[in-house]
Amino acid sequence: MDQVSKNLIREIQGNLPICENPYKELGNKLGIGEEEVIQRLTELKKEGCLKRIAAILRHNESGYSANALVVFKTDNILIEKLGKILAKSSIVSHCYERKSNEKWPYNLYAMTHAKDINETIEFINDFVTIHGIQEYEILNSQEELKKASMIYY
Amino acid sequence: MDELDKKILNQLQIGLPIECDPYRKIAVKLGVKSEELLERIKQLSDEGYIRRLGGIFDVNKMGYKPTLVGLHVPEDIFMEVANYVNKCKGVTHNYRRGNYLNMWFTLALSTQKEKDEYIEKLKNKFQLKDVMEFPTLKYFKLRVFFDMESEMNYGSSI
Repeated sequence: MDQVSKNLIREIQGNLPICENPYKELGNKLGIGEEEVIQRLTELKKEGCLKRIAAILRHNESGYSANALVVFKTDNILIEKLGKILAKSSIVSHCYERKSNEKWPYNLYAMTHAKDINETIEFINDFVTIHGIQEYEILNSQEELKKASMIYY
Repeated sequence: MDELDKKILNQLQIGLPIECDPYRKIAVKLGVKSEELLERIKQLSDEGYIRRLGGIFDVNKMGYKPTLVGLHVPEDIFMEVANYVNKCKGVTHNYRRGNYLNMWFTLALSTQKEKDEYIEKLKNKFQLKDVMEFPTLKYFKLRVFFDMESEMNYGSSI
């Protein structure tokens, strides 16, 4: 990746200009043309580094104030199936298999966001009942200590 | 916030086209003028609904190895530990959670070695006994979308 692309990333890891031609505006800052900005961003997207240019909302302000990390213990055979089922639900934003240990045996993690914690509890209760999951924990987000975007350059 | 604002927030979460006149394309889709769209976006941003409108990156493809750390922090030093953790550039999310492991943060550093060193340093500095790292083994989903338009409280797919 050359310096121009790194500078471009440095610009867009923050906020895009809110104007009619944001890519032209970015180009002005970097000393390149609008077309080149678009080309470079398209390339970054093709490489997979850039997923999209989009808005990230403040979830509490947007009404989604019930946020919880839910962890489950399941076996290696079921985890694939359960992970996919959780992923389909719009209440789940992140779903991963993570490494467990003897003190913390949970291996399936789902980050959930809802307008009311009862919705989350109901969803999880249904899920564990239907799939016979014995061990799980709902870890409420009690206090946001830090929430920031990654600074790459 | 009216219905149009909600539509705007949903469209913006999906993404801005990487082409000329990106806002006009969204304005056309929503049946409004560009000027109004831009005005509303500025307002939604000022009012705090939009945290950031910019590039969303794949942290792995950018060369980092993200992990999740869960730890138990005694209450009397909780904020001190939180402030220390928050200072780290590789920490983007840090939350107090309801469990014995009461602090959870994401940690993205360039190498495993840096990660191990950071966690060791954290343990030793505050004499913490239970600091656990939970690296990702497999991704099933990573898609944050707060549906502003939906009346439903969650999707169903049990």
